Amino acid sequence: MKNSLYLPVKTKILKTKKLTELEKYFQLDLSNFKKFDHKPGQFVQVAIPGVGEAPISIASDKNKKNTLDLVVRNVGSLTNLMHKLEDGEYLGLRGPFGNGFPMEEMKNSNLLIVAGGIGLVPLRSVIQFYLNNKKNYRSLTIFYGAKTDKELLFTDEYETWKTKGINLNITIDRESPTWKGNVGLITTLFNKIDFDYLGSKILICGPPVMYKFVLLELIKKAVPAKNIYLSLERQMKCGVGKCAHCAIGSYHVCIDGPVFTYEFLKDKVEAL
Amino acid sequence: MNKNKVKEKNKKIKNINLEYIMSVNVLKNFIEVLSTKYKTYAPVNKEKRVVWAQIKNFNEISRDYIDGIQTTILPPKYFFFPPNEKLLFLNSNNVDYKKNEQIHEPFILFGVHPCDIHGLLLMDKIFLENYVDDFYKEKRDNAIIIGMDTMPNEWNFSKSAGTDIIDSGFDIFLIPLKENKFYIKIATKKGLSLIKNINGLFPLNKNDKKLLTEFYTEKNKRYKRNVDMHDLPKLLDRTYESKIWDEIGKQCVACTRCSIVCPTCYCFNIKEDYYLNLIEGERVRTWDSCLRQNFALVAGGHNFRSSLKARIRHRYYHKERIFSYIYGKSACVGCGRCSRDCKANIKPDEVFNKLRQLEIKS
Ligand SMILES: Cc1cc2nc3c(=O)[nH]c(=O)nc-3n(C[C@H](O)[C@H](O)[C@H](O)COP(=O)(O)OP(=O)(O)OC[C@H]3O[C@@H](n4cnc5c(N)ncnc54)[C@H](O)[C@@H]3O)c2cc1C
Ligand code: SF4
Ligand code: SF4
Ligand code: FES
Repeated sequence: MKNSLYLPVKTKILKTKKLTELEKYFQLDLSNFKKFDHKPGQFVQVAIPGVGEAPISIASDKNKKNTLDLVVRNVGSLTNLMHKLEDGEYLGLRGPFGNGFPMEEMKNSNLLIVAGGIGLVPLRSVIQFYLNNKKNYRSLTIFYGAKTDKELLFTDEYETWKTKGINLNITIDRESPTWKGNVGLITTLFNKIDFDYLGSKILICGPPVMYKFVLLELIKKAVPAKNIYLSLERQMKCGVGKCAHCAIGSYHVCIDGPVFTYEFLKDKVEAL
Repeated sequence: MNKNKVKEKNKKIKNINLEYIMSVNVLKNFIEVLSTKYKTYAPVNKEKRVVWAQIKNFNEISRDYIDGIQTTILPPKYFFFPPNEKLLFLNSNNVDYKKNEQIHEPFILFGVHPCDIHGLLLMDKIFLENYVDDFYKEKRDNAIIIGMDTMPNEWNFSKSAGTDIIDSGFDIFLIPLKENKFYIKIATKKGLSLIKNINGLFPLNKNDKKLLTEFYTEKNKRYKRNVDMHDLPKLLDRTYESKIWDEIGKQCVACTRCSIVCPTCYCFNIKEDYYLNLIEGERVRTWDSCLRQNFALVAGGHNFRSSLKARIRHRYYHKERIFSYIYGKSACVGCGRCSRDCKANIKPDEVFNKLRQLEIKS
């Protein structure tokens, strides 16, 4: 069988777990790949024959077991069918694609992750990378916002993150009887939490509206634009810089991104 | 020999540059010989327009095309990136995909315009750089390009775009001259092998050189459309908020014909379909257009370019800027096809002129 840029690799689902009403976790077996060298912030194209493909972020760091984590929100045709897949079933996979976060460039810095909703998924690969390479970074702080406490992702990992020294701050949009923590939009955390914004690298992922308001906060604090990294979402058909669906002006988000610095994006039209 | 010298030597071997003159009868014979050996496609007349079709002899080639009355409906991208292409076969029971292995054999594209060769070279950058698109490459590798200069048609502004002349991207290049003669240039080994058994190629004499100069003088005179395309990306950056975009946004009806006929529009869509046994099926790619309403829609319903104004502006920005920033070239090669076929009579040369004039005024 000849290879092709567009040919998915048959990939076994090792484990699944429903995380919330809308989100499901998948652990995939990478052993059908000759090589799968991924970096935090990259993505894969997931395929179900007869339905098609969608870009999904890699939610884990490299590991010895040669597995990969995904978390998928049920929003449309492919993701709906993915939610019906169980342990031991298969899907198609192409990748890894995209540039990912420049972890090398961020060495010896404090890291601040700002995640809204499902935006925490790609950043979980950064969190795992940080835990695997802790000595190279000064600290990791997380600002994470969700609509309700029922929508929080990876809840059973929070204790481990905290005991390993991560400063985790969560806020939910509206009060809830089952929630004792922060309430308010993610931007409210910026005034509540004392943090060395100026000397840090800031990694952001969330819905398009969140970027505007988070950037305003960061600009207020005079954070240099080159220290702000945003992961963008676009409609993607090919994932390899051909179909132009993901184009922002002169760039293809799938190969030039999905991670861009704010320095790069601030004068680009229709980017944020 | 050091590396650079080796490179230079290879370059010399690759860049053959042989020029001859031949009579139209020799060319006729040449095409007959070629077309028995290779599938040969050339511009031919069809229902008052010109299309690419397989030919067996010279007389089938469109006179309108050679005389610069009109060009082909579609650019040659169509041979390498067809409007509808089966990429993979799928089996949903086995969760399995297989590549649609196509059988390829060398074929000839005869009579490709300089501006269309420029277009192909830009398409190569998209499909062959970074990740290599195997479907495009397999067909491209099999193509023998015989370029041909002609008079410009009424929509063409390739002189302004700097694509009226070409010095690479073809195996053989022809120029129709007066006195029933053709200038022929051989640029590659492939080209050389094609003319091996052709008798009747002569070195250019003084008169031939004069005819060649006359051809270019006439060609330059025939350009009806001239537009200042210098620094176009910068002009576009400065005129992003121009009211011209509101105007053409109101005119455009999103028919997407401009994208279909453009030699450098490459957006595509990918979709999968089941066969009627509901187990197997195929993954197909089809031409798309950034003018379509949902082209930039993402989950959650956010559309990065929901208005037609934003979408047609994006078409121009993408075309002018993406290549100029990445490859130092504008992707509009000035072929004029979109002006010819636009439902709303929008013409890029006029848009560029208006943007510049309005900027000078204000
Ligand atoms: C780099 C990147 C990383 C991503 N990572 C993740 C991730 O980790 N997890 C995750 O869950 N998602 C992720 N996404 C988002 C995911 O790819 C999209 O949600 C994708 O559309 C899901 O495919 P689908 O077939 O299920 O949905 P679709 O059927 O494509 O529908 C998606 C949404 O778009 C709307 N829509 C689609 N097409 C049309 C149309 N023609 N007309 C009107 N509305 C339409 C639908 O109503 C729906 O709201 C990522 C996206 C990118 C670009
Ligand atoms: S934009 Fe129009 S004139 Fe320019 S290359 Fe495309 S079709 Fe030709
Ligand atoms: S051909 Fe004209 S009307 Fe049709 S989409 Fe292009 S610009 Fe709009
Ligand atoms: S997804 Fe096709 S070019 Fe980016």
